[in-house]
Amino acid sequence: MNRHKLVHLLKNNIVVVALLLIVAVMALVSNTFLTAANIQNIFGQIAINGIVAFGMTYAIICGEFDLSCGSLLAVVTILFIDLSKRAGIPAAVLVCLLTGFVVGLVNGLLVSKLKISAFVVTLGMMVALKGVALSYTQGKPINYINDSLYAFGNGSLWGIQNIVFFFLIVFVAAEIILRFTKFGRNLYATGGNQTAAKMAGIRVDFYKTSIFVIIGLVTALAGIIMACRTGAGNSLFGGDLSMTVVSAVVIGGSSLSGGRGNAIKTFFGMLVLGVLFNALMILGVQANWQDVIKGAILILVIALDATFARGRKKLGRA
Amino acid sequence: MQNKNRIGGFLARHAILIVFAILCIAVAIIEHRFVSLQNIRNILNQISVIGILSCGMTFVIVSGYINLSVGSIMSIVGIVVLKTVASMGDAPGLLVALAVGVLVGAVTGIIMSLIEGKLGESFMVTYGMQSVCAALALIVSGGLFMMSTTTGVFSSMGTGLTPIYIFLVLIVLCHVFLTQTVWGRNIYFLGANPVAAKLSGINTRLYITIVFTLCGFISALAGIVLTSRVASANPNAGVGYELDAISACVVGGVSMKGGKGTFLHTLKGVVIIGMLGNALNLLGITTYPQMIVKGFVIVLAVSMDAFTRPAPSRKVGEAA
Repeated sequence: MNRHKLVHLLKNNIVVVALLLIVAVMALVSNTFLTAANIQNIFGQIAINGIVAFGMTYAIICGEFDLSCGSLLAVVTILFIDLSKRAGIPAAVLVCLLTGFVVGLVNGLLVSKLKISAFVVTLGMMVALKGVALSYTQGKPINYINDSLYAFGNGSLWGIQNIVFFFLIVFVAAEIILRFTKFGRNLYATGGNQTAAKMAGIRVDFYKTSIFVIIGLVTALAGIIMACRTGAGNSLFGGDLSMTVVSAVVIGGSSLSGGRGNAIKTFFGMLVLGVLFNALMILGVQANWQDVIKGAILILVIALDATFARGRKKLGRA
Repeated sequence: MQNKNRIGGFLARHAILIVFAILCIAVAIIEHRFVSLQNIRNILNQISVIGILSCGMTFVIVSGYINLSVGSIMSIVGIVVLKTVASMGDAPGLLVALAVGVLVGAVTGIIMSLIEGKLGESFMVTYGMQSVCAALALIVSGGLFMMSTTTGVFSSMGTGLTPIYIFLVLIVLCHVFLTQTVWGRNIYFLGANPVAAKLSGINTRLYITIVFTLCGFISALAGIVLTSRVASANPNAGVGYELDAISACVVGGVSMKGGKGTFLHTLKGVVIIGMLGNALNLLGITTYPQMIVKGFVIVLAVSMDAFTRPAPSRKVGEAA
């Protein structure tokens, strides 16, 4: 009985186990790994992608998915840099958030009203937005170092980087909304069984649309933070964002088949990936090989997720 | 009501062709070079690589899946073929290059068949595969641009009208395979209703593997033709080609829902996408704004597909 409980506990928290394992191995191998500076570094690296990951968690719980967030991030960094130079910071923030909102709304309406696969819609959006980013900048990065913005993007408070605060705020807000509000409950219902949710009077279309809007907004936020941190708008930003973010969400234990998952799982998924790639960097693995590993991880987690989902279906617990 | 729907459906089905015809006439008026013999040859050459690639993509889409990795297969095959042809000679070199495509396709296919994934899983798995192949292409080439120095079978594959002939022969073979053989029937069945196909005794796992392997093989062929045509290879050569192939299929009328569409649709789509790209080039619209157009074309074509069909209730058990 006790052994069963232990196995169950391990199985449900396999991400945490993996995390501890990597940390333990790295602590033995490298003496720079477990330093305060490196831990700050890891959180700094995952903060921006992490903000988007919580948006993606909502989409995946709802049984949907967004490929276009990487291109949107690039567009937002460019817009923000350009507008903060020309029109001032408040206007830039406003326009960027509005852009995220509109892109999300278009994605959402196409998916929910026209019933087109989210993969196709967001694939098209990804290409179109990438084209916008490249046309706007002619493929060159645009730089603008505004002192106060740069200080905001790279500063820290009580030893925690400013951008990590944003990451944590979005994390807590995402979890609270999922756990304690009607919106969160209905999201699980929509993702778990769309037909049943509709029968129960849930406005499925509204929820489907709103998750794309949420992703648009958090991506815009992430883009603004990225622009502040780097002082640049670049059409190459966000190249592997959607891949990293989806890997993180699914590694955490939310399922692509919908109806399962939460923000805490995503937090740990993001942390595992962050620690892993930090470890690879410390071990001196070449960037190209890191990309190979990133792709392989995505394939692996999708395969495992699909296999587990089938198992659940067989047991009647889908 | 029914009637009105039917007329709307009819218009929507042909809207792409109508819009396209108007576009062609407009471009021909603005830019006379569009209808010159030289340009038509040019278009045919450009079409052939996308066309070959779209043949592989059609198999995958008809089976109800998608493959985002074909562009990066082209990149890696291009680099491999230049290296192997130079070091081993024509025939072994080409075989090795084709084997690389088959290998990538087979790995994807085996993964997809083991997990019995749906459209959603194929998006994610092939997205990961795209990243793997693109990075491997960079590693194998050392990030360098490579020139072809050989003359022989390989270098003749991309010169003159050979690419067109390769494309035409391939599409006829594919068409016969898909419409005239039991294998082809079963692929349609798999795409239309995988559950029913499995229950009626079709080895769906085998077919999923075959379809992706075939797509890998054909993508490798496209990569070889492209490399031969430009007589050089670089690790980014295939970037974005997967989108052209997908757009060609869906614009032509191969349904993303699976089980519907023939290679005649593919041919139509390839011609439309090829001429569209050429027209944009002639009008002086550069690569970057062209991407915006391409993105909209994909969404537009699929929306039309959604309009022309009676609104379906989502397939039971469909992942995303």
